[in-house]
Amino acid sequence: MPKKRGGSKERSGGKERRDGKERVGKGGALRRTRPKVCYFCKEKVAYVDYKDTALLRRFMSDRGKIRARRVTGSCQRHQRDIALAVKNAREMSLLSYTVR
Amino acid sequence: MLRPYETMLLLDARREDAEIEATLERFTALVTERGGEMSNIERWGRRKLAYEIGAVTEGYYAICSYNLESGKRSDLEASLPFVEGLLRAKTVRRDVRTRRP
Repeated sequence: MPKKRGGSKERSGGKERRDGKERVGKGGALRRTRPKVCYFCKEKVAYVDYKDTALLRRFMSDRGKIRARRVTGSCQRHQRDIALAVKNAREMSLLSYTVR
Repeated sequence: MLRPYETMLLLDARREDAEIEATLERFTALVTERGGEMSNIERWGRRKLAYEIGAVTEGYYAICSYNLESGKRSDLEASLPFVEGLLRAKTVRRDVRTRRP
């Protein structure tokens, strides 16, 4: 039976993955994964500056969209700060709303 | 309450340098008129905009740091649309550098 797109569906909730222990990979095999750490927590950045576009770009897709928390591994607080900073930077034409 | 603010000004880069300086002075005057004190103006200079604003593709960026009575902020911001050559402006508080309560 063909599985949908690599079948990276979780077997028992999100608990295991958040710990970075086990995840169901391709073909349903268990895979060890590294837990993602929030960049701003790790670097002890107190303030997410909207002027630092080079840094904010790391949290954006090539299309100019804000990357999801599950992709970047940001914590909830900092994700909110990132989103706000990106939106501020867009207003000042430092970042674009869309790319093509 | 006296608060440290930071305003980023985005000016039309097609204008002459002297005109840009005049606009920055105009902004400084607006701050001082309201009892504020300009501490620093950081000039980023001309930069390509991420997207066109009207017909403008290049902007002159300047970041003004100053102290101002918090009640005067809205008054200052309300006066900005009348500043010539000013495309955008954004004011943030400089003291909110730590985590919000």
